[in-house]
Amino acid sequence: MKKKLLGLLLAVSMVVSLTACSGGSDTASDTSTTDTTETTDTAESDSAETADDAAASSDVLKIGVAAATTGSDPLEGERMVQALELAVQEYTDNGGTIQVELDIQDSQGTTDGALNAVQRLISDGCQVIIGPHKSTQVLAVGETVDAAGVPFVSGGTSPNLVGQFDTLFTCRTNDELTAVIGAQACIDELGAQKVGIFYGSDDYGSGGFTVASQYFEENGIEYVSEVYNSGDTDVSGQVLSLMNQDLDCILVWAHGADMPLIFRTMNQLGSEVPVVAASGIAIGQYLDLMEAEWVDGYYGIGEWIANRDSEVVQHFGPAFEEATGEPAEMFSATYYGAFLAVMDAVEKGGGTDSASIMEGLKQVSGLSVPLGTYTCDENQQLLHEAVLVQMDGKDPVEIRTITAE
Amino acid sequence: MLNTILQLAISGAALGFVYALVGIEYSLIWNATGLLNFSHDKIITLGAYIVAGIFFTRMGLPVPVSFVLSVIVMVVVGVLMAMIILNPLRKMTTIFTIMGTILFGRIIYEVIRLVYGSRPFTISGLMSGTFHIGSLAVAKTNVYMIVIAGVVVAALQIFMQTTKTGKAMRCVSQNKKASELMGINVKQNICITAAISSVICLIIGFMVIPLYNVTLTMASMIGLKGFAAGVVGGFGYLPGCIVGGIVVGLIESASVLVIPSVYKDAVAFLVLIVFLLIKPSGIMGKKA
Repeated sequence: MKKKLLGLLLAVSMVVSLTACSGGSDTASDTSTTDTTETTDTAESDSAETADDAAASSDVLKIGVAAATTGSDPLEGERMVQALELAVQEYTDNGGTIQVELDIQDSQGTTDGALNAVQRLISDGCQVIIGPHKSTQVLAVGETVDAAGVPFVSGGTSPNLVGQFDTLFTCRTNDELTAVIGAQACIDELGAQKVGIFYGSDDYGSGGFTVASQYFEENGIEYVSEVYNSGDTDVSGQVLSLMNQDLDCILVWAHGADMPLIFRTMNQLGSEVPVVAASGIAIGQYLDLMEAEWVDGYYGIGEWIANRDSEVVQHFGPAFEEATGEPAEMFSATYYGAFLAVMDAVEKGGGTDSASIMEGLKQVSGLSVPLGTYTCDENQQLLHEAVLVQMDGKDPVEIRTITAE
Repeated sequence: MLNTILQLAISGAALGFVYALVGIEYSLIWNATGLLNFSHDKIITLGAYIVAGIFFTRMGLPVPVSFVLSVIVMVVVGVLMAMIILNPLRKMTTIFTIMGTILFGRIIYEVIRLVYGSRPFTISGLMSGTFHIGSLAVAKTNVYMIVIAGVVVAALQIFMQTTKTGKAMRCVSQNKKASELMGINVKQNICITAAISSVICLIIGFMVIPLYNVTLTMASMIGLKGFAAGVVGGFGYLPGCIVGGIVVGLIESASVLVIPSVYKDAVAFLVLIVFLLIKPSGIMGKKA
């Protein structure tokens, strides 16, 4: 009897666990694929309307969101969702005529999770998809989304994404520009003749490495490289190798979530080599995990600059902090801008169906967003500028803004 | 080159001691119950969240006080784990025990995520800094890890060898039936073992905060590598866990001298496979 009761308790625990909030992707034995669906109605509507009816109605816009709210970097997804919810709320409060719904799926920060999330969003009838964020996941889902003919807007920046998918629109500056800015800073700011490139093995890292190394070769600058896997728990071997090579500077092309480990290791091993880093160095949630002395004086690529003299920046920063209690940062700024681009596209395209939104996105021009100004080019890239910053302790100080010609 | 080798040796030894502690904490459970605790990495994570999240961050207590209070909490967690999961499951078939511990770990993970959210955090200044010995820069974190782990291992060995409870734990691990016949309360002993294992998990979680920060996935890799270390040293044999941990840590660290660093994480598991093929009883394990 006791065994039966225990067996029943275990079975109930299994069911409850499977239907609980979405699982993570942290261990090899983790087979959970639960997802989170959150729909936000932002105007009065008939709640019995089906997904197909919503997709067909010109007054309803269903935006799918593939956000990594679990996994190795869940803050990325959380900030994305928070920014989109804020943007939708503001649109409605400002008298928006279209009923906007968010269909949020957890991409779990993995390619499998991203694919599952996107497939679910497509089957839910979303007219446009925002996310996934990381380039590796975008590459994994691109063909699926292309086949469905649904436009998707992502913050992925790998050069491998350029012109890769017909329905992809990227809303952050591609690494073809930012990696060049970083490489330029090694030479112009630090006078480097020999550079170490320390990059992640994924599409983002390897894409940045390819661009930077090409730039160094074109300019006759000697370089060496070390690579790490995102999620590595120890990079001391790579750092020691770089320290032994008599470098003038190190270009770190890594995700922000990996930077605390990298910079801590550099500090602990006594590295005094100057660093130029990718945009993660200027993101608050990662800086909170670092000591000021680890990054003081380092250069980096800035994207969200809170004190930029721009109406949308001066509005978004305080509004986001008021709504969430957290300061605005790159992820939230990116996807707030992505929403603005989508709504601009709806207006320009003349409808809320996928084809109209796609055409509208291609016509986005001069749209002011938190990260800068969106203008869609022939490769369906929306943003073409970045900021070179230098760290003053944990504060990124803007040096100059560079815009692609 | 010598500096590099020394640096790698120190970092390898430090991580090796962490792996050794991981191997010890799940070996304690294995020896007492015959169960592999697949939730042990989540318990390490829970320990870190309790000390850093509750007592240090939310209650603003100093680190030593936070740690002591966390020990008390983890003792309770261990006892509850033994009463609810380990004792009932140990007499059931293998599939139930595996599923039970996996789901227990899943529940811990989801509870942590719901309570604390997804934002990683850390204890600023914890074990930070560098010792300079000539041209050699040694991270204080590594030194503290070696010292703390060494103290824990020594204390555990003294406890197991000299105290009545420790001797009872060794009896239970050898033969539960005989232990019961000799008047040892096996269920109570399992509760004590689980409590000790949970406290060791807390210590591991606390030690790796400076390395990995407090995140939901902070203990995933060390949990797996600790398992490898235990097998390499001799599965279920506590001195073997120590040797296995240090061996795995040093080999892993030294591997960057001969293979690309990007493959470093695979080395521990490669060593595991080699030992399973060549000497499955481990370095110090005895043949069945």
